[in-house]
Amino acid sequence: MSKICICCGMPMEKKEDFALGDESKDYCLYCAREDGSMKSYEECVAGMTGFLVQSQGFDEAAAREMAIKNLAKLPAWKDRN
Amino acid sequence: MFNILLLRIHKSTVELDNVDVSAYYESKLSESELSLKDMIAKSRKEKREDTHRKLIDSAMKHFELDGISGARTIDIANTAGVSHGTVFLHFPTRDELLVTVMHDFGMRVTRKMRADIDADMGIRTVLKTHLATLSEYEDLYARLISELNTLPEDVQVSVVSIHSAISHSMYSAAKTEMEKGLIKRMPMSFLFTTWIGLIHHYLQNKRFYCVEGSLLKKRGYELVDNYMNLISERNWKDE
Repeated sequence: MSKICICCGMPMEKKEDFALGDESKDYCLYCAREDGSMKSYEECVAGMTGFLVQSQGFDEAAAREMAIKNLAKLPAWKDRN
Repeated sequence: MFNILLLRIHKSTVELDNVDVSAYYESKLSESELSLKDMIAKSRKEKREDTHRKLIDSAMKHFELDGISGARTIDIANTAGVSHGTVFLHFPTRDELLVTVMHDFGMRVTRKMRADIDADMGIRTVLKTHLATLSEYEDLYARLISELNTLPEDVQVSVVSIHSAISHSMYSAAKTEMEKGLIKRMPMSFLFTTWIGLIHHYLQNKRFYCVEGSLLKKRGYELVDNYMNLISERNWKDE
């Protein structure tokens, strides 16, 4: 089973990569809230910004800009105005 | 009389058969026409996908050989065995081709890393997996990092995503070893940037470190060993 998370673009290769470990879901564990529902756009931007700061030490503003650009082409957000 | 009756029965059977046969064949004909149309559509789709794939593979080769900015679409078309115009039927602009190729490359790297790395692997194994994955695309990756600041923003965004995914894999593995006191405690970002800085330096100056063949295959163990010694609380070679 191999899918790409529609919210953040992460490849989901293993069962545990999916929201609630449910392979029928189209989004990953990081883009799911505790109850398994999909996070909102703002929550995803904030999550990805934090991830870029933590994983690569980016400046917060640069990380947010990169997060917005990264999410722009993903299926969950590409038709967003 | 009997013969006439037989003839009538026979005739009506024939007529009945004729009706059935023609209806049967008409339905079969329309089915086969449909499946023929499907087959043609399928074959066109497959051919299109095949050409798309060939163009991506050819572009990867030329980006590697001629540089990402220097590679010419005419050469990419020639190697893929298609006309120059076909490139633009699949990718309206050169930048779109470049972004698709780099996205495809990024997905191959992250997929392989995610598939090959388990949660209970140590940091050393993660580093070796990272180098083994990169060594498959070593020259393309070296071009990518050398030219990155001049490439379209979408390509830069892809690289940032790949790096964050690698950083996360490294830290997930290192965390347990940090808790056990085997390696130094440090932020996820420093664990990653120290490693990637080392790899990028060697790749960007490959001509000084490895005259022929794969640098990562030949000297990867040295990079892993020395990095491990930098982050370890003890000497890994003592083990």
